[in-house]
Amino acid sequence: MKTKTLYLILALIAFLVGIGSALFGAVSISLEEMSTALQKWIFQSSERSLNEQIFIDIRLPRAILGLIVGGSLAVGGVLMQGLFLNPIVEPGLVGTSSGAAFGAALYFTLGASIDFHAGEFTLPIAASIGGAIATFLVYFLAESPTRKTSIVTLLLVGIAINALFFSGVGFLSYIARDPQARSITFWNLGTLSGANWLSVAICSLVSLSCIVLGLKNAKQLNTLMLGESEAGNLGIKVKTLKIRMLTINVILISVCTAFTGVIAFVGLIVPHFLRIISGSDSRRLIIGSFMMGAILLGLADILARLLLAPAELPIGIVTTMVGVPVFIYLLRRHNNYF
Amino acid sequence: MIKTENISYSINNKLLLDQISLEFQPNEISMILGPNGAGKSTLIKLLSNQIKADEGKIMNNGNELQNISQKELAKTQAVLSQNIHMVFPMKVEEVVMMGRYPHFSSKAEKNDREIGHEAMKLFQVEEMAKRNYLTLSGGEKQRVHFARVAAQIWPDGMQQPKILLLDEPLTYLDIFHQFDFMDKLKAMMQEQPMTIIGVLHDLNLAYKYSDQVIFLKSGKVFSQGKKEDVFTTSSLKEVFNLNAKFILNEGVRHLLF
Repeated sequence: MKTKTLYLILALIAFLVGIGSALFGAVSISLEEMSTALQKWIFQSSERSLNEQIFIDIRLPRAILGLIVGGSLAVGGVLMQGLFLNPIVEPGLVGTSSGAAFGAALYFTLGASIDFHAGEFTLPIAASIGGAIATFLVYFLAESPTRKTSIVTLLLVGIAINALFFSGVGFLSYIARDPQARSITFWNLGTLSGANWLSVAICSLVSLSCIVLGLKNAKQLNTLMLGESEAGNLGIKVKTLKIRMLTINVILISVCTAFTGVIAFVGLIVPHFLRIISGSDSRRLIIGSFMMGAILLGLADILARLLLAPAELPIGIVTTMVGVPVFIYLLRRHNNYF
Repeated sequence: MIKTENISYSINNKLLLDQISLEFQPNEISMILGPNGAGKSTLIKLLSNQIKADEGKIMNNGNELQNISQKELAKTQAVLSQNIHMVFPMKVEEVVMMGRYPHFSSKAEKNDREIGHEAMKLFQVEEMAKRNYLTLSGGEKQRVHFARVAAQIWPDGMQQPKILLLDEPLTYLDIFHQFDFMDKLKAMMQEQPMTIIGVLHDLNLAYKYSDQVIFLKSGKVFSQGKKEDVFTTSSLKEVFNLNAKFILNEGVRHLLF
């Protein structure tokens, strides 16, 4: 398939999923209401019906946040799989998500008593610090000075560090007061229900910058596929490339996690399917995965709201239910990755 | 030209290379020969800047290798190794185009694509350009890497010599492609000044294609010079502990062992 055709199809589906995601929910909103709400919003008209308000203030930011976060998680997967040369790696496995969750939970519970303010960016920064600590811990503990990082070591270290940081989150929700504790628990499983225009703005900004940086490094990431020494012979400084990739991944994933909680497996599934469709060129993978991840999380969010309607499931449960079979399939089929 | 001045390298207190001083001229093929553990691969790694020498220095076209950035080096120097293991699917043409990466910033220029195409033609992989690299046979894969490396140091009309390091790249090839590859390298040298330094296991092949021969033994240079002078049965005896003799066939010397 031509790359441009692929992008076009994915973008179209992502757009439709976004509209679908804005339509479905406890209150049904018609397409006409959507369009009048949008018009009023653009022309700054103050009179809005309740449905129009729900659409503009709740549904639309949620749909957009779903697309952006889904895309970002998938791009994080591309970067980590490219770095570790293994298709079963994703940001959740290397500790980024659990670390970010811990950082954010720490801010939720103790934020008031720590004298650290960066306005609306305080929460994403707290999450990024947590994500960075966990990710670099996994990376350096799993690294061997003499040979390529073994995937078994990486996964085992990942399990240990994830356990550590999740228990940290557990501890914080245990000592937190009740409403906080409940929101930490819910958000531990991932949810888009907290979406608002502020989170959309911050996530879009961070996600866009990280993806641009990722694309700038796409060529270098490709050379890693030949192995580290070959990448070196093609003029790449492998060590700094790896640190750059990890850092981009940490910021991208942590900021999303700060607003939506831990959403697992999107970063695993999406690059895998895209590789089957269009090969492994990192540039194509990054752009394509962003759109396909958006589609996947958009659909998952619709499911999360429909399965137990009018109640809603944490979206992380939905993605995990889809992701685990794919993960096991990859493990069983590609034994040679170990 | 490449020059090593008294380079030594050791790992865990074991001296792998001891005071190596060598010169490699443009438009010459230099073959480094020696038994396992003689330090051949270590020398190639040092020359390709993958590891740093403990002592001594390496001069690369007049500049000290340490002072050349990896990125600049990749524009004039390529390394062809054996057994490159890829796990992700990639089209053959995409793998070959990686050889042009040092030459363009984000998107391949027309010139780069043309060179990629020429390189694929040269090593007869252009009919598999769209195929998935992972589905190729071992020999085909290696030819794809030949094309990639050739694309990296493709003749560009510049005076500065290109450098090609060969780290036993012919191991998985059939006999025809082994000769074919060396012939093509010689042809490339006609168009562009090139310094070729290689490690090959096949002594007859090394003898046939080399200009300069270096025998390494236990991390030291045993002998070096023009192949006619150095490649003798007595040095083979001393370096490889091999009783060999030469026979003359149609004016060409062949080794028998």
